[in-house]
Amino acid sequence: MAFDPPMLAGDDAALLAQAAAGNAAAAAQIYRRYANTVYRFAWALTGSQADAGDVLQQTFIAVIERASGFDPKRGSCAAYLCGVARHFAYERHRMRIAPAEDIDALVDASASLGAAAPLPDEVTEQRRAIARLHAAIRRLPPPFREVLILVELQELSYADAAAVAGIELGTVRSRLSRAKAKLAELLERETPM
Amino acid sequence: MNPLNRSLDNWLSAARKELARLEVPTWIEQAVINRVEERCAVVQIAALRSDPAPEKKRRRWAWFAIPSGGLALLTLIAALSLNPVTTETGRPHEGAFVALAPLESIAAEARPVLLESQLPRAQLAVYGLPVDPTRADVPVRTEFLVSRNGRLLAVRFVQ
Repeated sequence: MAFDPPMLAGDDAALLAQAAAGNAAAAAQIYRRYANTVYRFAWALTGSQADAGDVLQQTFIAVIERASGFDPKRGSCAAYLCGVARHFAYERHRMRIAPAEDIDALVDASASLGAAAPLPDEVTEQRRAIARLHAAIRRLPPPFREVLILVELQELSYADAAAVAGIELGTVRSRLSRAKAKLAELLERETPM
Repeated sequence: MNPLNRSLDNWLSAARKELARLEVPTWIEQAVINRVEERCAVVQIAALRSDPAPEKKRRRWAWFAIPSGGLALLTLIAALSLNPVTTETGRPHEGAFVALAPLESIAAEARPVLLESQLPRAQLAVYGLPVDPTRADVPVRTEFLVSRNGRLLAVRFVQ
């Protein structure tokens, strides 16, 4: 079955409604628009490509089944999809804390983003440090972790982050501030930056 | 800003750039696209299932149907006793299933669901089946074999 639909006009809400009615072209368009955003968020939350892939799949299947959940007044489509993905990521992992030995897996995953050629030592070292940062982020308590990922890594607005996490705007600000403080504390304890 | 926060911001910035380069791996994308496509097909099939309106119409005639049904039954019994026939099943004639998924994945499906549907023949092209353009809008009765997680496995036509 070919899945190479023509480009469709229409906003996200309309596309979601069409996808929910079984329009594969609309579903493909929504998927192509937001797959990377949802995948990155799921990867940052779970730390696993396989889990992020499963969360991505569950998210889009769920969205096709119930498009009525999206309300543009409450936030962007990216925020809505990340909210659905967040639910599945939590359900899947119960916010498991990444153990220290996951760092190597994270480095491997991180390295797979770049060229296949051997990396210079300094680049490897930088990736290792970023992987350590991701591991530290995953050690944060879930409410702080998700806000940090959404605002600092995904660059969502505070309003969208509030919509994803289902909290007030002020709570986003305070959680973000505390998350950064906790993260600095964790990283300082582990390795001097 | 204290040096620790500045350093953290630098690392967050590097992590942000790294994350922005992360893209859905091709194998995951293909799996998701397949699932999304199958789910859309199931949604479409559910929407195309026979219109409930004729059901209401039938109910209105149900009281008349009881005596006339009894009469028909008596006639049928009489006819069969005079001219007996054997049938393998009491169901309408069904064709063979046409696989829409690899045979091994169909065989591996422990408890598939049979979903009855009636759809325009043009719709069959979506599933890669040949369609006669002159009869594209003629409805066809089908039975879809669907896995528990919504994958289309096979289809057959009911005459």
